[in-house]
This record gives sequence, structure tokens and C-alpha cells, in this order.
Amino acid sequence: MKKLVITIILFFSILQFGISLLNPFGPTIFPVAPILGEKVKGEVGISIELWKNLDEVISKVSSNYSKFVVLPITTAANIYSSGVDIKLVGVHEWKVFYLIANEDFKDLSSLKGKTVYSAHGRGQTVDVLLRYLLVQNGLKPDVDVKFAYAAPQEIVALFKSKKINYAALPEPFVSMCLDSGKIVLDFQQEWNKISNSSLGIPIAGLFVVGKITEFENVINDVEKTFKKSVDYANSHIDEALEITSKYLPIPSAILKKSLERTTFKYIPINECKNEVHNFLKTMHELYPEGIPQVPDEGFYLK
Amino acid sequence: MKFLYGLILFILIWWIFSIIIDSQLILPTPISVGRVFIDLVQTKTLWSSLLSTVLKGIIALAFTIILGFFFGFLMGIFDMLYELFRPAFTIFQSVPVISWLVLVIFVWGIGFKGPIVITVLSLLPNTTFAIAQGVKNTDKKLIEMAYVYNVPKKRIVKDIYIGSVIPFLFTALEVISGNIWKVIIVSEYLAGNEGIGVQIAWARQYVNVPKVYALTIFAILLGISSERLIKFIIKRKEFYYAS
Repeated sequence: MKKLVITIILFFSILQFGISLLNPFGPTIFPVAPILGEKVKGEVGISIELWKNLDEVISKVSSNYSKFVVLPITTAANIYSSGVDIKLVGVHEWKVFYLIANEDFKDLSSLKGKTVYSAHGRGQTVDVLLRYLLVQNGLKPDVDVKFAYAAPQEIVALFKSKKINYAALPEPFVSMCLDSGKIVLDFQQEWNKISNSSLGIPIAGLFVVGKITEFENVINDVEKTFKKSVDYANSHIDEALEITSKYLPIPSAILKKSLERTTFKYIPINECKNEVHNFLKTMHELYPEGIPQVPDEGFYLK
Repeated sequence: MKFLYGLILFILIWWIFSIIIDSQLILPTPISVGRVFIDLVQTKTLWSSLLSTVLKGIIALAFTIILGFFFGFLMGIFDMLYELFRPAFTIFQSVPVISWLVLVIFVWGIGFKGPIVITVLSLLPNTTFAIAQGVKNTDKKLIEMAYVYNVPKKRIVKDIYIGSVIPFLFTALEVISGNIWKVIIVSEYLAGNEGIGVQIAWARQYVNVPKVYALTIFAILLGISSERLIKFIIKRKEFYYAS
């Protein structure tokens, strides 16, 4: 009885004060812009907090109060493996990675003897995929093709100055480089070929953390709002961009261009569980250090 | 022995905090870090990373001392040069690395050289100023006397100038030895392709927090051992100069 009362009180206080959604600072603001700009609303009020780096979101996710969070799927899988009660509600980002070049490129064999720069470090999704594709094409990673890692901002500057010739980057950094280079490979297409999927790479999604898994209706409502927001942003691009640019100091024109090559589409987990599981399993097989453990059923919201 | 008690106290405090915080992602317990540490010791990657970091440290230290001596002496002897170089060194001292990271990567690339350049540039100003100060502090009367007695120039430099610079250099060295690994590891993190800093960067990316802490232990060990080594050398040298 006591538990029920607490549950009811908690439920109403959530209705009253809203619930927080931790969203990455960056182009992923775009799909939640309608919520930020109050164009889309649900029964439960959602207050969006933007996180700038992984440490920040990890510290917030680890504390036990309940909340929703948008995270890269691979990162969330590792957070789950270290014992945090985090569940994937749905995936909303499917397309963002490209290989760009500022010299002649025919196919992957053109990379022989070259260095490819990619963002952040060994084990990133593009890094693992590119190494896999090289092996498929008879090239040895680290021997025939060298890899270097740096922050994407630095890579953009080096690429534009022609100091480096190849870079594997996510949008909107790709769009920033296109005045001095071109896209030569779409990682999503390659992944679809490998995995027999048609959706692309499950890059980021909506997660729920903590005891909130007990409140099914809250989750349903937030999910509905989130989906509506993604749809709204896609159908009202300029409006959503205007809201995004209030938070994100990337020029709207570049962001708009980058959206042509970025896919935000909300798919609830029961419709894409196989894709996500297959993706994590493949990443784990190709580079176990990056994803030491493939998450079990508990990672997916039922 | 006292050091050991201090260490135990530190680990105990760590333990208590990790129990209070109760999250592997924020502060793992000493046991889980210890386990990862033992696993790490058995990997080849760890030792090649450690070697790379130590090598960078030694090269950076050598460059810092050679350049520090060169500029320090010039700036100590000629007041004009002191005023001329001072702004540049002051600027290098206070500009955060990230502001000119692109420039460093542009010129020296991502890999072995970049981190060394960053490290030298961040340690050099202090060293140079310390040596310049030492030269300025040289007893002028002693030099005058040496000239009067026709002491060869070589000996003036060796016995009088160097002699008065040495204590300043030692102080600079002590400061460097406490800082060098921190700077090297951060610069590896930013512009390296191997080393402890790169390993930490990647472990962070995989949200492998216990590994980040375990790698940090190696950084601490490097710091402590180099500080001890330098103190040991200083003691022997001081003895030599005193006698």
C-alpha cells in the first residue's frame, strides 16, 4: 500500500514538474529542437539538458535519479555493461559518417600508402568499419593504410589546408570540408551491405535510466513526444534549424547542408532490435576492446 | 616506512569514497582498479606505450635543458636579449595548448613529434627564466676579480657562471620532474598516436573507467620515480660542488 502511494505521488510529481532529457550538445539538438522550442508537447513536461562531454553525462547517468538520455549506442552499451540500469527505448540517428578525400580516389585500394584521419580514437564506429572494409579489399590496416586520430575540429582545419588527404568524419564536420574535398564513401551504405540491413547504422538513440522503467505510461508518453519531435523537425526543417542555431554555434547554412546527409528517424526498439544487436555484436567481434561485452536482453526496453 | 603508511591511508580514503559514491563509472574501488592494473601489466601494448611515453619524456627533457641553457645564458648576460625574448616566453607560458593545437599538428603532425614539441614549449619558459636568473645572480665581483687575475674565459664560464646557475637549474629540474609526465600525457592525449596518454584517451572513449585509473597509476609511478631520481642526482651533485 505504502509503495503504491509513493508510486502515485511520484507519478504526479513527474507530471507536474516534468522530467529531464539529457541530450548531446551538437547536431543532435536538431531532432529535439521542436521540444526545446515548445512546438511539440506531451502529457509529461520534458526539460532538456544539453551535455557537452562524456564525463558530464556519465556522472549524471550514474546517479540514481530517473531520467531520459540520448546517447551513442556503443557508449550506452558500455555504460550498461558496467552495471548502470539503462535501457534503449528507440533509435533515432541512422546516418552520419562519411569518408572524404581531397585527392583522386577510385576505390579503397587508392588508400594504399595513405593515412586516414578519424575522430577521437581507436574503436570508434567509423574506425572499426573502415578497418573491416580494408581487410575485405585485401589491404592491411596499420600496414598498407595508416590511421591517425584527433579531435574532429582539428581534422577539419588540417583537411582544408590540404595537410591531410583522407578523413572519416561524422556530419556536420563533413559539410565543413566539402569546399575543399569530396565524399568518396558512405559508411552507412557499406554497413547495409555487410549487415543486410536497409536502415543504416544505429548511431544514437533514446535511453531511459533508473527506476523509471516501472512507469510505463511516462515512458510511452516521452517516447511519443520524442518521436513527434523528430518527425516535426524533419518536416519543418527551417523552423527546427532556427531553434537549433540558438543553442549551437554552427552556421545554419552548414547545418542545413549536413542534414541532406544525416538521417534522423525514430524507430522504436521492438522494430529495430535485431539491427542494434547485430551492430553491437559485429562491433564486438571486430574490435572487442571497444565493446568488451555485447549487452544482453536487459539493455532493450520491452 | 612512513611513506607506506601514507599510501595505505590514501587507499583507505579512496576505498571509503568509492563505497559512498557506489558507481564503477565515477570512482571504481581500489580492488577493481588493481585487477585491471594486473591485467594491464601482462599486455604488450602497455609496455610499448610506457616506453613511448618515457622516450618522449627523456627527449623533451633534453631539449628543454639544452634550449633552456642556450636562451637562459643569452638572456642572463645580455639585458637587451632578456627584454627581447621575455614576451615570447611569457606568452608560451600562459597560452593554453588547445588554442594552438591545430598549428602544432599542422607542423609536426600527430604522432611522436607533436607531444614533444608541446611539452618542451610548456616547460621551456620556466627553465629559461630560472637559468637567466642564475646568470644574473652571478657575483659580478668574482668575475671582475677573475679578469684581473687573467683567468681564461673558459674557466670563468665553467666555474663561476655555471657554478651559480646550478642551484637554479636544480630548482627548475625539480619543478620539471614533477610536471613532465603530466604534460607529456596530456599532449599525447591531444596529438599522440601511442603512449599512456593515448591509452587513457581510448579507455575513456570506451567508458572503461577502471582502466583510466589503472593507467593513471603508471603515470603516478613515472612521476614518483623520476622525482626520486632527480633528487638523488641533485644530492650527489651538490656534494660534488660543495667539496
